Amino acid sequence: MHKKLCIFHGIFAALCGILFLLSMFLNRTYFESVAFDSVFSCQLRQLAALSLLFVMGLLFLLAVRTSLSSGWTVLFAMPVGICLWVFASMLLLLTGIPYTLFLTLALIGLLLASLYLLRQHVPAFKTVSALSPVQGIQESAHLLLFFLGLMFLTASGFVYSFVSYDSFFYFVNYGHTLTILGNFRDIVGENSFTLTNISQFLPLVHSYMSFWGLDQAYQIQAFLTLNILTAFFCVLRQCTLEILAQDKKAVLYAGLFTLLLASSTSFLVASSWVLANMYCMTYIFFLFLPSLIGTVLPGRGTEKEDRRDSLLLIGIFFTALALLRKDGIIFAAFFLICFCSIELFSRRQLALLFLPASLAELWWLFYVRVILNAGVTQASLTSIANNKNVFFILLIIAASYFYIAWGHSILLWISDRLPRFCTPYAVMLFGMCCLMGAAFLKKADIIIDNVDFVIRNMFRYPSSWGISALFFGVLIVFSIVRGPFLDYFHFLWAGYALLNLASYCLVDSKAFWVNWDDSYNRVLQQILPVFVFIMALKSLALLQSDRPDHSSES
Amino acid sequence: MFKEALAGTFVLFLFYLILRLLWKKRPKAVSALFLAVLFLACIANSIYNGLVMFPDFYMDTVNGPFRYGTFSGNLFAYSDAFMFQDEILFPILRHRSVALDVEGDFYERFVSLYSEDYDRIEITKETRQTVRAHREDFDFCHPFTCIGIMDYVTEQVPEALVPAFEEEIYPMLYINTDSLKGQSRLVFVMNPDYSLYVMSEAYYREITGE
Repeated sequence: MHKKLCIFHGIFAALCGILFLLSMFLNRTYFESVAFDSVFSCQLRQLAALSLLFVMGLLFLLAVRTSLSSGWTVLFAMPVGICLWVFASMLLLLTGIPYTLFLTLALIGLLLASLYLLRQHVPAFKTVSALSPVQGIQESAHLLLFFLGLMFLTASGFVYSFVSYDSFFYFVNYGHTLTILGNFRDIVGENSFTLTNISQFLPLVHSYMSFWGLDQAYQIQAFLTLNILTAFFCVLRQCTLEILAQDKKAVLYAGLFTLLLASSTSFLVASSWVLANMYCMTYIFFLFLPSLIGTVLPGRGTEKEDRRDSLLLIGIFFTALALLRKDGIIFAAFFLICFCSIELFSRRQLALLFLPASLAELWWLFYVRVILNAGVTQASLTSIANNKNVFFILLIIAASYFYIAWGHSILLWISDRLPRFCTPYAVMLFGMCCLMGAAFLKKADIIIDNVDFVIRNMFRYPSSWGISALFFGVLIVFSIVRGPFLDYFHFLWAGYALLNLASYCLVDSKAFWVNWDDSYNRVLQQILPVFVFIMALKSLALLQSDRPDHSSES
Repeated sequence: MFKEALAGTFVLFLFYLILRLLWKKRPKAVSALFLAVLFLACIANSIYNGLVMFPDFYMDTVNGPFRYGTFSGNLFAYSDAFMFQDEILFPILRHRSVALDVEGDFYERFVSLYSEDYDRIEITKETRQTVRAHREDFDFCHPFTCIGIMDYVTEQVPEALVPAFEEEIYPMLYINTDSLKGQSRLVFVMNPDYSLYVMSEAYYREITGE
């Protein structure tokens, strides 16, 4: 146990607890002048709701853990807890079982109980970690104390959040209504625009808080933001330590990059705005982290077969992405291709990982189109279940499986016959440029405008990227000083940005907006934590002291 | 904008060439420069965002600057300077019962969904006029956007309102917020133009004498 850290984090938690208590008195005036409720009860419910999600995620991870360290288990607890809630809710709603707090929690409880039983009786579920779950919790006590402090902080109501049309009508109000009606069927009407224009993940998160008698889920979002930053710091520190082998330097380096991420305008905008983009950003980042084990970070002496917990996490996050946004399946498919290229797992395992996401997406579309038969009179073209959208989702799923089965082998065969600098990533990036070219041939005017708008949104609108876009440009330059070869990490952010730009221009053929509200701008911001992390990893080489200084030679 | 972008890319490329040269000659200088840039970026970002984004974030929109974000007061999904101010009705309705005007059928589904429970109340023409006459007591006044945008909260939009709804013009919502504190029962009075007056039952009785 890290006694010193436990003391520091304990003090932090105690200070946050005091702030939590003080906030009740500060919030009381405005709260009780409007609501017929007690501010003390409201804030305690906020704290209890957050804690329950966290505990559910932690228990699940402790049950399925085979190789993840206890620290990683704590870092992943909240994102997994949210997924458990949403998946259980979705299952109840799609099967027509009344959607209530009790039934949803009972379903999660049943799942957890089954997992613990399996763990006790099935050898394949045994952990390869030397620590028991209790020892694991003791080992990560300092981190648990830190997260307790974060819970107090976010439940205080002093969370930076901002809202727009979509935040209220699609997520907050709609999620609240689902808890009252208890099913999708009663939402369907003459015009089912609100139901069919969005994916269901975020409304169900708001439903969770609504079941607790709360007005919104800003606290969950704020907690996730802090969770991203904590995970960013911890994992980057670990990576830096692996490479530099100096703890103080690792802490300073990880701290600086975490501060850079936390203080950039684009991260503030993406993480505070109550939209599905924030959750996409979270799950993209947490999808990226398990891929570091066995690549940058050592696999802790475990074989790929023993990393079933990482497999499960990736499968869960793929499904979360598919349920988060209309284009969520594109993000998931992109990461599937990336993981295939670094052979993170066997192709059969990767195909299996993508299956829950594909099935969830198809089930939802079938439900809306066939079972609910929801009609849309207003803005029917943007409906999630329109023919064009269904066609492209089917195409993406089919193409992803084609890539796993044959595409990757074909790609390797091609790149083997090309010069050394033409890595498979360069070939894929070239393919995406061809897609952009196709889009350009189709609608040249729109593409020129759109690219112009992307540049304007990044540099001209201070509320969108602020001055951070400039610093990110400088970071890219530093990251390629040692050699401009396109590897996995650079492909991850560049490919993501280009693929989404191509898909927006080619599939949607829509004109972007010149302001922070532009959809592609928000999609671009989703990759930010991954981008900054990659820049940190690539720039680490600049700090390696073992490289001889050539200054004396000159 | 393309010209600026091209010039920016060129400058970055020059910077790259200089760095590459420096890396070959003096790698420790590049390390130091990198850390300096990192420090500078953190400080510059913090100052910039401290000035632009905190404690409130205002966005210039077509209808003027609106407060989109805030650091405090987030126990409700509401912001007092925001364009969808009628969101305040949701925390007002929670845990409260409502007496709804018998003529306010249009609002019945909304009230039944979001209030603790509700019943109907007969309101005479004179009473309606009395409520309207106390208009200055209703400090909150905003278009009722929720009723138009949330397509599942109304059974059917009355014919008289259809053209306005198509133009995204919604009935007005008036709330006497001063009368709400500690009150568990509300009265909703509807006017012939579908505007809605919300007040506590105690205040309603006080002004109408009923």
